[in-house]
Amino acid sequence: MLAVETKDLQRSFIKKNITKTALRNINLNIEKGSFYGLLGPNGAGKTTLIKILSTLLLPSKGTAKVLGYDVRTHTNDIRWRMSLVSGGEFSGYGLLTVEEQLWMFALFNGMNSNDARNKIDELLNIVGLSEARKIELAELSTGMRQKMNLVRGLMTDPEILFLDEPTLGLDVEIARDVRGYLKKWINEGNKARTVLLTTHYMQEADELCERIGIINDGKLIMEGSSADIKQKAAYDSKYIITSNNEYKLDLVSPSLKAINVSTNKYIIYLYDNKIEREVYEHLQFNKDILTFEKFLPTLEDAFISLTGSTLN
Amino acid sequence: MKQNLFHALRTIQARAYPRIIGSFRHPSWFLFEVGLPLLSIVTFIYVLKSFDSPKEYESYAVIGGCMLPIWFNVVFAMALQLRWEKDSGNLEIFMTSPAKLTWILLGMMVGGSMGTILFAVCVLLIATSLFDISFLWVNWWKALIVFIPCVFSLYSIGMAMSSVFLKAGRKFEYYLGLAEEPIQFITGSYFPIFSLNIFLAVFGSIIPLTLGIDGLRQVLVIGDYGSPLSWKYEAIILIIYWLVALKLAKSSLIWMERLAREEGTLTLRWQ
Repeated sequence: MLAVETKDLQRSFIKKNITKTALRNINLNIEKGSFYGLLGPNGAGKTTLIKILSTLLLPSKGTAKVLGYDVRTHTNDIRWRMSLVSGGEFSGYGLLTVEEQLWMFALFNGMNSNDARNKIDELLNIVGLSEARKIELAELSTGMRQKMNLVRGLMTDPEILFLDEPTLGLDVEIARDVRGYLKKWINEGNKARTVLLTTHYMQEADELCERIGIINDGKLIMEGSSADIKQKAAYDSKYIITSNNEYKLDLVSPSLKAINVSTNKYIIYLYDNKIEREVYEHLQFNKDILTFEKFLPTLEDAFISLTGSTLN
Repeated sequence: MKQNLFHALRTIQARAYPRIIGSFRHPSWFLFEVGLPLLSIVTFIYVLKSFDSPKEYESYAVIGGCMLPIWFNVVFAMALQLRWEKDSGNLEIFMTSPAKLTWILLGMMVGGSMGTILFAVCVLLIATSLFDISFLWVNWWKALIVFIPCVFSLYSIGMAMSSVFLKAGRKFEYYLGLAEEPIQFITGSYFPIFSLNIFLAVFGSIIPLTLGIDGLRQVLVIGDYGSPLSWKYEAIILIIYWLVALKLAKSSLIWMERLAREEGTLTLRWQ
């Protein structure tokens, strides 16, 4: 069964008589129980899509269903089964403590007071926030606040969790904690849990998502596993070389491109791995070459190849 | 049905909680919510004393001075609340929860009114002790018949205004600030408005506060207090206000939510 299904989904905004199309004919199918990532630069339409799926916005054209329910007509059926957590979110009331805040949102979501308090205890322990439970929100750091937002999203044990840039602005360690917990969460529990993550951090999408959709300028331009998408990169592998100043790279082949980035640094792009052995031998036995390192294509390379622009 | 009712009650309880906690958690509440209204009352009482006015005039000022902060709370904490909730990102969370916005606003109303009623009682007790003012406490039940629908109708108006202010934007906050003194005047907060000018009083009665203050003075003030409209009728009018304002609030919230989802301009911070 599908957790998310969109057909020719479009969304436009009219501001000062100017129409801006944020989503263009999005056709998306996300299987229940999967971790799906939407990768794209700022302004690509990721947040608009997630706001439509989380019932905050209506589509301009086309259809969108979440867990089989239409976002236009079955708003409450979806709201009972989903949670939305956004990055950089400063929601809540500064004078409430962490546990009071979570209790309040849990009651909005239909939980009773005792169940809410037990769940708060459990989740605050898991994300390492139990010592901050009595701290007022105004006193929390950005990282702690984002962990609290994540706990809020997980309180009701949603069937589908929408995460909109959940690690935005977090330091590396906390972002890693958040990713670690999400990986664990999706595989726990008796029912199938689905996560739709939007991010412009390719490493995050690469690490977490079974399937990734690349979105740019409101269009879904490619979908597949991380490995499938990386195959769309313009090259098969690349070498970064540092040499002494006298060295002049003399490798010539239609299957490679060498770029001299500074007096003693080159980047070689291989477009066909068949010539890799030849390149490798040249680099290994050349006394003017001090170091060389091989890199495989990343999601960002694939993104550049697909769109002609960078993620950031 | 039963599940829906429990959900509604829990939502109201949850949203009322920060209002009540927010009112009392930090000691500054005493200064802002009791000290400042008290200062206005003290000023008026000294002006009245300097003219050798009858003692009951001082009780007019005390009643008006206790009721006025309720109006300010309605305007600045209730009507502008959704705008604030939008800016802080809370509105998005409210709207993605299965709780109805009407329940959430009812929670704000319950929490806000409980807080302000307690402040009003504090101001009343301190002012009456400071200036040795007596009231007809035997009429406490009559006072409640006027006071409760007055407070609820004011907060219901606040609920209805909240959607409009969300759409209208920040400029309305500025206009509300400008209207503070004219509203103090036409509601007769510190003097009996019906004795000044009947047309002005009728115009001022658009705001339930005018009728509430007048009704409370009729039942609590010792001595002659002439009003062309009995407190009983005023209570009935206030109940009608309350019901109409609740209906308006519900309709305006439905309108606001539809507009928000269609246009994307109301609930989303980045729009």
